[in-house]
Amino acid sequence: MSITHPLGDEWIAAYAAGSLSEGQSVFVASHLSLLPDARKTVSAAEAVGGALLEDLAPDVMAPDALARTLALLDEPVAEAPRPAPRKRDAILPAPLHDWLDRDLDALKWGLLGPGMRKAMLWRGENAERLWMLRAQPGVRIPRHGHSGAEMTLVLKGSFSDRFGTFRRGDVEVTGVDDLHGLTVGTEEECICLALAEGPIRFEGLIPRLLQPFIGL
Amino acid sequence: MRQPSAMILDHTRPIRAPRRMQRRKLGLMAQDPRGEHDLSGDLEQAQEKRPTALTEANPAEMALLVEAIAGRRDKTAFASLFGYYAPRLKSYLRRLRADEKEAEDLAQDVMLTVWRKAELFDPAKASVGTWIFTIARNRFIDVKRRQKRPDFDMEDPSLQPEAPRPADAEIAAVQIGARVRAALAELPPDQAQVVALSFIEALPHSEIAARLSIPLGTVKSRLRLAFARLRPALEDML
Repeated sequence: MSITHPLGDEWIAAYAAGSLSEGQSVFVASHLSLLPDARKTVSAAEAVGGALLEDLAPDVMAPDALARTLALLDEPVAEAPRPAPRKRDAILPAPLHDWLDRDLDALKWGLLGPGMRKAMLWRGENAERLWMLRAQPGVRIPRHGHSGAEMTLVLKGSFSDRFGTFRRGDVEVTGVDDLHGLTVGTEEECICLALAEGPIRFEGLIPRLLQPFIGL
Repeated sequence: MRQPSAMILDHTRPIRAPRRMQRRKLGLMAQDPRGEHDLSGDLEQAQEKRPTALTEANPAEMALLVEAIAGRRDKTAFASLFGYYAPRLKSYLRRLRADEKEAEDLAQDVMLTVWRKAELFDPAKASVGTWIFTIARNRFIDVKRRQKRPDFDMEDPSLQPEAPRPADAEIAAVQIGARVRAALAELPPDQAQVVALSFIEALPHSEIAARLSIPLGTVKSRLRLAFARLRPALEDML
């Protein structure tokens, strides 16, 4: 498996820096865990954080700070029981699986259109939302645009549009002006994780009429 | 190798080093994070009390201190680490917009975690500074932002395989900090600035754009360019 459409380094940097929203973190960590050499990439970005931390002008700690901390060192620690290692899913990347805390089929899948289901996972500020799409082989998704940026990570199967073909691990990033219609690969169903800001805008009359019910 | 911490204290010397000039532009040095009073007095005082607190981190020594805690619960080693990292953690947490008390408490709390989790530190994978940075970052996200951040599990066996580590990886890991610093110092100031705002203030791309009055796309492209330059400096080591 080779990833031909990886996320830009600015996302990996932001993940390492801790400046992402929860939904964005889940998305980036899921993508990262499907990349070759993901450890290397994350470690490199975190090393930047480590160097910048060491170079910061030190602040002044309270006079009793060290004494107070030393006094706590021998306190017994109530270790939270470690959750039993989860059986890894062939489709859900580990960070997504852990965050969801449930399997794919246990998600609340709602009808999105013919041959398409969606599960809303998270909503954040600025109409940001994280959701999953599950489409039957060969399904065509009508041409649509977005009111904000959208990123789609393929977890199973593939889809194609005018920007290329996207397979497991690939991310498609679309901006406000990137109208596209998708065709799901015919080999198997396609499951994607999507992160969007601003509502999706379908072009045709029927999809537009249906939009209030779709709830994307 | 220059001693950045010593330079902070030396207000008498004219600014000559290009790197220092760059750091000043980033606003990372010699700044009073609270803007209340002159920080240099505090630092001089602190230096008298805890001379170890203000020398530059020697990555190999820092790693030995953490190993001393893991191996024999060495409190003197802990006090040395605390002296160096706690004031910097507090500074970092203040920049993440924690208030004075929160930053003080969180910095102490992070150091307590360093004591309790010392055996999880792996010098082959990260420097002590990097390890502590990740603990502080995660703690802040957990406590202050109340986010359930999916931790990227470095040990996850389902991760894609990578090339085998060279035999001297452990020695190399100790030098990562120096390599990162050198690479950061070489960055054009506009790239270094977005890297610093991203890592030290954890500002989202959109807020960096607003702060600097530049388009969002420019923030992203500067970060991408910065990491394209940083990657070669790191790749053969990690």
